[in-house]
Amino acid sequence: MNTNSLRFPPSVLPPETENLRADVRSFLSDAATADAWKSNSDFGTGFSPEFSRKLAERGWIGMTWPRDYGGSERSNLERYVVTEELLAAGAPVFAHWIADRQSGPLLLRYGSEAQRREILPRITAGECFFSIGMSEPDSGSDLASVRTKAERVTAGWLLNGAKVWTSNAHVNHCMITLARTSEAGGDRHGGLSQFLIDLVHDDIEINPIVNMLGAHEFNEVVLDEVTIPADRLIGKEGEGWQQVTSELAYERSGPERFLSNFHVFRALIDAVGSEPNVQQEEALGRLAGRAWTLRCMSLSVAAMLEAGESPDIEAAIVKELGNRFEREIVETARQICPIEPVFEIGNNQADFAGLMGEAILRQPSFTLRGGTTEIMRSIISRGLGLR
Amino acid sequence: MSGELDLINQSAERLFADHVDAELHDAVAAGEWPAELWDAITAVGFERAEMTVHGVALARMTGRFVAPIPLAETILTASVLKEAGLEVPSGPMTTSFGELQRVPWARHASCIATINDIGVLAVFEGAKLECSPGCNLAGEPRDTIILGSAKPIARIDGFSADSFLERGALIRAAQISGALETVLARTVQYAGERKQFGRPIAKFQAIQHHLANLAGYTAMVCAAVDAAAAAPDLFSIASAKSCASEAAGEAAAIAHQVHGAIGFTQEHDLHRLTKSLWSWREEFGSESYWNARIGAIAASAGGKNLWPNLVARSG
Repeated sequence: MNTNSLRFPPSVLPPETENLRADVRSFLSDAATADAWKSNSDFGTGFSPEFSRKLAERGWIGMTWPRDYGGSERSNLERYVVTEELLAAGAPVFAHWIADRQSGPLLLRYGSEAQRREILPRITAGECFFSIGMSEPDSGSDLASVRTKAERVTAGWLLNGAKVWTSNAHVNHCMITLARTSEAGGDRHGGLSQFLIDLVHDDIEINPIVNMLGAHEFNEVVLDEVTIPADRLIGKEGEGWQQVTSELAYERSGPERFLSNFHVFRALIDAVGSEPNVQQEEALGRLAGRAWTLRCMSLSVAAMLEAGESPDIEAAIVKELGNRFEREIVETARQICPIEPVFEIGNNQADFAGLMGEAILRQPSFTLRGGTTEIMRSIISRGLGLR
Repeated sequence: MSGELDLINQSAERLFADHVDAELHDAVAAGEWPAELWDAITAVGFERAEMTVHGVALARMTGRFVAPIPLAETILTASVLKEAGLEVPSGPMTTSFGELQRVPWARHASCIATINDIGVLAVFEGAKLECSPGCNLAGEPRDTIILGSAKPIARIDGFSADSFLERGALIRAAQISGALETVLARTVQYAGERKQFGRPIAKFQAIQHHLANLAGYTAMVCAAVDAAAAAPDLFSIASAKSCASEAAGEAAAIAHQVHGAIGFTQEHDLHRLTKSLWSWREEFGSESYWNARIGAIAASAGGKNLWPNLVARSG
């Protein structure tokens, strides 16, 4: 067994992050007043290009990337501070989130110089938002089974297939898609490649998939005989699996994997009030202690990433525990401060009943997106040497 | 700094591996004092370790081996005496908080510090006190002290026990973290060896998920203990002990489930670990106790201070 996989060395943020944190808090407090955004309980719900552009003006999108590509060359720990403050405040960050978290870093690592020059500065300017093109109707957890095909043709690549659960494809600009470019061969991870899709100009079909809250966030993206230029291949042909795995590591390791319902926790404390009974004290204390512990673990993962390590197993542990904690917030709230939850699409109230309603309805997606609980447990099992 | 810590860990691991076995456990449970083990500890001076980082590391190691020795208690008591400006004697020591009941290792302690509810610290020579023996589920001495007419060798009024109760909780949390590490390693190993339906049970997804869960609890407790040791205060220690106490029961249940009937026998030593977990989770405050302590603080601070307070307490 590799016991190092279970080590989360305490990480102390460098002192310069104090000023940055203060800047973010002051920005958030001004922005909340100016734009009157309602805190959301989940980072995946607040889509605001205006808000994203304001963050971009501050240099807080792609902030770790080289200046040549519009970045600010800040550290991963500085980025961690910015992201956790935005998430804890329930700020509407989703427009730029995927591009900042995984698509940009993927292009930085595997993209061509031309791709980086063209795309990255648009991302850091808050003008280019990305969707994830991984899942398909028959490929969810078993991502290597994707059937979308890309064939070399004279004009470039010919794509055929369909992607699903593609959040915000109808309003975003680009999507990185995983497609099969040749037979898998022995290990079934071979023969995959990643491509850049222009969601605005490419000849694709985007069909809404309304989720159980009644909201249109998901889409089906149909690629029917779509020809894209040769230079849209990202990285190397046939190495898509290795690339997509590194993309997933970015997707899984952040503080959004335990902070999704943080806003409900905050509201719960206020709903309980300043004179709690013992049951309420115990329940609030448990959640507060768990939040602190998870943040220590998450910060430790961020420090490992900053040190150039690949904490895949650690990230899986934090996501699994974090997702569990997110649900515990809602269930604890029910126990100590019962309220009939309400939800009204498009006009939901940010009071305790409304936050609870939305949190309950969004909850099922938390343990699915970014890899299911079951997949996280397989990754941990592999770390234990069981697979 | 971390180099020194590595050395302590390596040397403690070797020391306990050399001395702690089933025979020693049985002898101590029968009332014997593990003199050889204690001599080995004092020969390298572990009992004089400073309280927080080194003390926590050593406590974790005693947990890994469920070593039947009051090393953690001695380190804690030394920190109490030092804080009070008193001389620290040699020999095993223990501290009783509040009531004089279920005091760890009192019968073998050469020095016993008592701190009562009104802030009186009184230090006694162990030999002068009568002890009514008791033990926890794991067979570790938990004795009742009868003061009788014994005179303290030192007495200080207005002494706050709070921070020592917290450090005691951190030490027990560290012991739990160590025991969980061993429980995880042993359970993974057993699942790889035990065959049913023609293959190791570790190959079954249901078992893998149990073990992943166990690994998650173990990682969480170790992380919380490490973070609390690096920045000890009421909030961090309460979080760590709460987390440890809650995880102890969950982990013990998984370990027994995976081990099956063999783990329920006297012969197999899984029970030494799980009995310790079931004892230590209550000692120095259960999760309910510590949760209520910090829950009261979170409630009075209000929702808007929740996040700033969490962040101020780490990183």
